[in-house]
Amino acid sequence: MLGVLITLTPGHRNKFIDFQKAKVRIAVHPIIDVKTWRNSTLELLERADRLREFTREWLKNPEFSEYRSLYTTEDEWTIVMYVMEVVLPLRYWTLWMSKRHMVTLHHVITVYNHMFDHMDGVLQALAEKKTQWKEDLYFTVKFARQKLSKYYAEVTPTTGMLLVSAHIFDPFRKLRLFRKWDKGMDINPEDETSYITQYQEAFLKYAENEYCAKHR
Amino acid sequence: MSVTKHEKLQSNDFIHSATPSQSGQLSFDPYDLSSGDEEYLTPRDLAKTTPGQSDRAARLLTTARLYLNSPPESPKNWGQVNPNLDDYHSDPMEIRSTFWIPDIAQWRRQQEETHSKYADLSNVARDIVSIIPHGVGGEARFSLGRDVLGWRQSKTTRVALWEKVVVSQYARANNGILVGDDPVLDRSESDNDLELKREAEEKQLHRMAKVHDFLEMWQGSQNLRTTQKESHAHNKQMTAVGYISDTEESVKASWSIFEHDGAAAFKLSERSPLPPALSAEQLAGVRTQVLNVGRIRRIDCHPAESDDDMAPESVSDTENWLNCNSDLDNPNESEGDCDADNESGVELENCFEDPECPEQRDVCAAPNIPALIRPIGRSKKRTETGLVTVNATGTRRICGNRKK
Repeated sequence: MLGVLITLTPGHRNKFIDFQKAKVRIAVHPIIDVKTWRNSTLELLERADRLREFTREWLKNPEFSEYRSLYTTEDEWTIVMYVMEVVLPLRYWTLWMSKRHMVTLHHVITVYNHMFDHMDGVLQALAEKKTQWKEDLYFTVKFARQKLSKYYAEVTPTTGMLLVSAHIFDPFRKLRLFRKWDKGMDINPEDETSYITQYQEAFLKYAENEYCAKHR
Repeated sequence: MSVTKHEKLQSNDFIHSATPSQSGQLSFDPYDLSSGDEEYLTPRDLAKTTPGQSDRAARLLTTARLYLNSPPESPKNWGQVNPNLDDYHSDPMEIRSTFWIPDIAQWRRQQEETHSKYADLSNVARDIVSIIPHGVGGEARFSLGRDVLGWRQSKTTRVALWEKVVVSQYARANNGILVGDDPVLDRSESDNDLELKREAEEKQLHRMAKVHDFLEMWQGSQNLRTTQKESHAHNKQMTAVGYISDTEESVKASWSIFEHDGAAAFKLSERSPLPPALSAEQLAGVRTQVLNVGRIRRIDCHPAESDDDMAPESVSDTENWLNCNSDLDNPNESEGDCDADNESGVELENCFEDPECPEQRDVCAAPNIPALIRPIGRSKKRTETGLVTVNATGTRRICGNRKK
């Protein structure tokens, strides 16, 4: 809200830029969250943290005294920093997967598991907390995990074979990850219902249908 | 890297075509690799392919099984894929050795160059691992979000973003031509245009057909008129010559054309079309289907003419027929009941004029008698009593005579 007010009019923006002069090399404005941008919330928080001092100076101006109720207290900054720590791995893996220098498709399942691990860790840390904002953050992370599970479930049926094949084509892991899943669920790898058996069979069928049939 | 998220990857959703393994096919016995080739290379398939292609397909499957059954490679410099918190704060766009080693693309290239045992899988691996995860489907939309929407468009929904990305990618795929710019690409628009044009042409053709028909009819009438004029003049000439007399011609038919009856055949035409009257004895135990005629409201033929022209036996037949009908409906009714019939007829007439008369018509139930006038759109009661024959006018006359 404060970022909207600062960037509302040219006068507000110029006043805010004036406070940064001779203090920073590049003067910037606060940014607004864009729901269709990846990681825009984290960028908003980072920019707000960066401009915390100038925001306070801007609010000290009598011209904007009516907006002083929007001033962020130290406790609120603590919450902001906590939220940033929660959201930070998501941006990291998003940018990591977006690289084009190297092959990243074979790490999709691994990245998903990393994000699930991160959220599970946050939920475990916040489970016993009684503070209101921590409880709120707990439920927020819980819903975020459900959202991630939904995306994971929507992606895998359509491109599941490609993901599995890419994962198997990693010569340094192959079926090791699926073997761990079977071991975690106490399933015999030789069993027909085991992950390793199903994925191995699917990989062979994919190779047969897509490549062996063309060569015949 | 200790990842054991079993609930995240459901096998039923992930792999649809996963089926239980066959005997020995999915076993990890490296010495059983050749036994499964017979399943994929049936004799029918072998007959369609060349030996080289079959060998290549079999070799690919063999290599795939060998690859799956062998243990994972052990890289010399195994990278740390699981970052810690400090790594999260770092810039992931930087090329760091911990996240790019081992490089599977480099490993595949080495296998292909050295013609190793896994070289046959290099083509398959190149097709799959070269897919960019963030450039496909729904991921691509959000990857292009910053390019399509500015930060001031913070309220734009994801659906609007999808539409914009689809339009931009479609234009990019068609050399910058959008759907509306090129009629060839705009199929829906062209279909609509074609349909509209077709309708307009049909309307125009319909109008032209009407004009054409009108012109044809006019021309035909002109031709007919001309022909009539010519024929009229020709007929006049013919009449003047005397080939055709204006006097009526009398044709004397010979009796030979009447094979059986002769002159009696002409008497048949003079016979009354009404059914023959039944005698009282014949109607004693039989209830006729002919309904009662309560009042004769309309007389189509003049009584005098009908009386004069009617044969005596026909009049008697009609009289008997009508009297019998009335007697049948009310056996105890005397001759003086004709007045009552007339009164009831007046009542019925009033009823007919009343639109709220409850009794409705049943015209179809009336008998199919020649020369009957069927009342239409009137009440059932009147239908029952309003059956009138052409020569039934004699009834009133008969009743009046009887009263007298």
